[in-house]
Amino acid sequence: MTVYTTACPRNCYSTCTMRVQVQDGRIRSIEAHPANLAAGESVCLKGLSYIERTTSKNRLLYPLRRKADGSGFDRVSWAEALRVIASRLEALKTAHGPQSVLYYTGSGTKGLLNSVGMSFWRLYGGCTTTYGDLCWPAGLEATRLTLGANEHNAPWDLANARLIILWGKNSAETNVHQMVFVQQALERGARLVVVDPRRTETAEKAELLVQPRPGTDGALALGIAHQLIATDRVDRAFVERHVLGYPEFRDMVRGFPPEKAAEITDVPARYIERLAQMIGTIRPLTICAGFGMQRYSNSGQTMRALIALTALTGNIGIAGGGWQFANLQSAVFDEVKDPLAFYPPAEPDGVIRVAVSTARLGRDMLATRNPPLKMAWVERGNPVTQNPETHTVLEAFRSLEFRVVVDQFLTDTAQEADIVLPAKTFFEQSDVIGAYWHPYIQFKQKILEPPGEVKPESEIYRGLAAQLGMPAEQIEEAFPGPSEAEVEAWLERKLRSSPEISLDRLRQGPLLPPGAQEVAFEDFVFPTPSGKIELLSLEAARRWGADPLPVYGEPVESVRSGDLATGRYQLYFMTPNTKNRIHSQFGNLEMIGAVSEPGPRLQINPKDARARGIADGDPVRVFNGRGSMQAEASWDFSLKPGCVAITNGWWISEGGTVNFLSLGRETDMGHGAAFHENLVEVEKASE
Amino acid sequence: MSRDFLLDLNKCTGCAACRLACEIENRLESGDSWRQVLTFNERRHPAAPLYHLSLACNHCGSAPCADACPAQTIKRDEVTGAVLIEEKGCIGCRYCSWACPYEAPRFSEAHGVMTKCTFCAHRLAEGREPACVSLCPTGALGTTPAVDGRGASVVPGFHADGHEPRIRFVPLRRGFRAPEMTSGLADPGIAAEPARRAPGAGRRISLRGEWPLVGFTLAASGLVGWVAAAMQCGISVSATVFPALAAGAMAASAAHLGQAGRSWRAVLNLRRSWLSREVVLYGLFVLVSLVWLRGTPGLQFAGWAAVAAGVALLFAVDRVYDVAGKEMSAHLHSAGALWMSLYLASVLSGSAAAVAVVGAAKCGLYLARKGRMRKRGRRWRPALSAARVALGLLVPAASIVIWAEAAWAAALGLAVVGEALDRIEYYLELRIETPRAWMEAALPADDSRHDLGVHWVRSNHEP
Repeated sequence: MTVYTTACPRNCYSTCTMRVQVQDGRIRSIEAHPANLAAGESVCLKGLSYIERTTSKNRLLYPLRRKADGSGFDRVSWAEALRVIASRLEALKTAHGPQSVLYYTGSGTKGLLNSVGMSFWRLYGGCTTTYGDLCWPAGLEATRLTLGANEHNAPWDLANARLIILWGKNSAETNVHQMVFVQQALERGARLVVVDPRRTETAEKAELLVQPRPGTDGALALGIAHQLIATDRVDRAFVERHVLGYPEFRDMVRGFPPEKAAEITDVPARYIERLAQMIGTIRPLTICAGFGMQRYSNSGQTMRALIALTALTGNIGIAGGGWQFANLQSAVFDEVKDPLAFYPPAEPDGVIRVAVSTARLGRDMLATRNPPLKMAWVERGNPVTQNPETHTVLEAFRSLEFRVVVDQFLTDTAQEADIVLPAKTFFEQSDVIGAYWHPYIQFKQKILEPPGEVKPESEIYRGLAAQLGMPAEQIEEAFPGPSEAEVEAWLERKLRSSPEISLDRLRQGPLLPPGAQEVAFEDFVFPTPSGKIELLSLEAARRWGADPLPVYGEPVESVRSGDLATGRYQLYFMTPNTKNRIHSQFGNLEMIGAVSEPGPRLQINPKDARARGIADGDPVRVFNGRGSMQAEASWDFSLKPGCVAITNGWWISEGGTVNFLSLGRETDMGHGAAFHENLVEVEKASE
Repeated sequence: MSRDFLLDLNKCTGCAACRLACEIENRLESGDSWRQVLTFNERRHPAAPLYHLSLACNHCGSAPCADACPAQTIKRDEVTGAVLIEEKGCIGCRYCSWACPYEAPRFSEAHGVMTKCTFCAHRLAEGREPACVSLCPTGALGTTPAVDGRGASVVPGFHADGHEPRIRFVPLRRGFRAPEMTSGLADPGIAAEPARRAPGAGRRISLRGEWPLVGFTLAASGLVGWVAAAMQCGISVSATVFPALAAGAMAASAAHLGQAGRSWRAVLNLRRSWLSREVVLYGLFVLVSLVWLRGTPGLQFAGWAAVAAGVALLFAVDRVYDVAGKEMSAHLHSAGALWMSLYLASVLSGSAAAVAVVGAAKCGLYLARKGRMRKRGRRWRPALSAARVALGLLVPAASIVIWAEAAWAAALGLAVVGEALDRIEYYLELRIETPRAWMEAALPADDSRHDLGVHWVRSNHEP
């Protein structure tokens, strides 16, 4: 029995450090490494389920090629798979140029080695790729514009807060380790407010659940700001010294009394006043904002309005206080940090065409010309279920001549492929990863040999480069060799820019990056153009055509917009994440299936259910002009009436993806996807 | 040193990592975890809080499972205080699962024996916490030194029931209330909707799994009634049919065991288990009856001894079911083994008076039970009830009174059918105590928020 230290590279706040026991080539147990102070209690249930995932009977162990008649796949050798792919790549390059190939990556796994993909496409001569991101750009951009950097206090500092507002964040399911610090704060007498139309597991721990109409959080924040100013609860000294644009902001929110905010948000004015009273008098205050709320067409401005509340009350740069959205302190190896890395380059290099919006993937793929897209290579992602407008994404993939998907399982996207290549799990190749909640840099150590014929991506690209006849010295320079020693040497080269970080030190456990701040902005240095917190951002206006102030605008798709096309659909369709999955990962495991509902479940308030003759447990059809899906109705007395919810990440084979109903639409800032902004109708389904 | 489980309801988010931890540590199949996570107020009624109970075996001070186990294979580990099933000795009768209100013992289809949480005794022995505790990501589940005489703290949805369960709860900091919600109670009509889901899930005793037991109970009652009727009125007992029926009933109930080969072990716990007593008394009854059957007519004594053993057997049969059906003692149930036997003896004896008196008494018990169920809003199956009373009680009585001997066989047949129906209903109606059922019962059934509040205030103030 050997115990290894490694780290989980999922797109997840916690990025747990793990101690993994291996016996006879199999994982026997997974525990949390106590040196990770943010997630030291234990890994989550998904982390435990890796014991099954690595050896799952559904795991892809060999390359697959679609049968000639299109029905399913045949196992093929690596030599054959690479030969087929290489001949396609050569033909496409000659006929249409390298940019007829779309290279699409999702957030399935993190690590420095992810960059080998782009190295390959550069060697090939170029490709087309995406800009923007599904996850969090509106919030990142709003924070960058306002505070200058996406950094926040260390996770454990939350225990020092006296008032915590989890705004659109369901930490109990999506960041379970944060609940440890929430509970520590509550034990010390702190107060907790949750803002969410749903009564989540997290809301249950709060004294007050504020339930605004989806997409109106910005109006709620402006109503609170109005009240803070009207009742003289602004930290004037702080604002004087560190805030740009306060007078303009003050004049703007003058038009936002609680009554107006109440009318917009559906939150009674007395609660807005009470929240303002709490925010204005309880210090330190930390606002933790979730990601779902910033997937609306107005959410860049929403997030800026929320940040303003922490700035007005002087809660930035102090222990127990602040704005927590993303903490990118560990991103020390990125030349360009997110969100700027998401944006199309100002000056295209002529090799990599960054031309497809992630938010509008299907439609942009279909519309691309000169050259049109002919082939797609997908890795670390499942765009068929996870990107907006599944129908259009499917149409776009099906219109291509050739598709390659690299994955561990036969996902709905892999099902569309001509060639499916078996992907490693994170236990099967070493890498170095950062995080976005805690500031640790970690060594994700290899502890298992890949099973079957699985190859890590670096090996796939090496093989393909050789097949294409690329010069050996270019291959050696671009990719690490197959052995662990060569991978580690490649990683050491990447770490050279930070002498404090070495693999040997990382092997002992997680490391803080040089200059990491436990209390972000404690020096009150804000890397904005003005050096201050910018409530007034000229860059917001210049880059996004937005109002320089965080004004409120009604979301495009809203029950109040009076839009003829959406007028038939009067229910807000929320598509949150669940504790059981990371997007579309994990749900296919038996361990997770045993603790999860068997298929998509629609939370609906009995008021809305009864109006439609829907009983608890009835099969229902959720639909709008874009598509539909089936689910089982589940009455939820405390869900805000007018809202329904199905967790995202279900596979089409499991009952359907929520993105059959979403629209590819960008957020007002950051090229994010505003795909949580959907109106639907629900009816009882015939069984 | 003994330890108690400690569950902090504030910290638990219902994530189910503890369930997976248990499966992994104990190498159980997915879904066979010894731990379950139950949710109070799944439909999120605004009048009630939402919380979770993560429950496994509570290694109770009284260990009703150990008392019930006929094979005496459930024992307390002296070092850790854990209540453990020695699987080698388990006959797979599932009786421990009837006795445990916490659904801890589970039948393993793969191994034909009962399994359950061991408190991770192997880890405790190494000074480590149980896996579910170690791998709880929020630190909600822990252990704490056991305090003598201090039972579980009271949480709605959890009953200690005098079993001294070794689990304690850190109650909700806010008290038993929902968070204040800005739109949760917007519509009073909605608040009046019941928070309970339709009941029915998760019964440990299902008719489908217990047909052999229905057959055995009916056969035992019939056989005892037959001997009694013979002693009373001299009807004949067939020397071939009687042993065949007796052996068949025994074989059926043995075949229903997970480990039929170890069925002899069922007699090991005479001191405490009514199931052991039932098995021994059944053997005794059959043995004495056979002696009487083979013996000379002068052996009247043996016949009465057989009847006595039979009555003791049926008394034991009824006591066996007391662990499960706490709502009503089987002695007072119209399909109790004693009552069934008495009625079948009356029909067999052909005595119109006996049939009328016993039938009327049974009919009274039956109708009273149905009336109670109807009053409590439980499903009372009026059509089945009518059939049961008419076919099983009225027609046999009428036919014996009117046609006497001529209709005797038909009357007996109908009486047996009626008893079988009643016994089947007995299984269907068994109210099994489970944490899930307790939780449902603690939720508002209608707009009874005030009652609920009173209940919670009371619970909250108990030590």
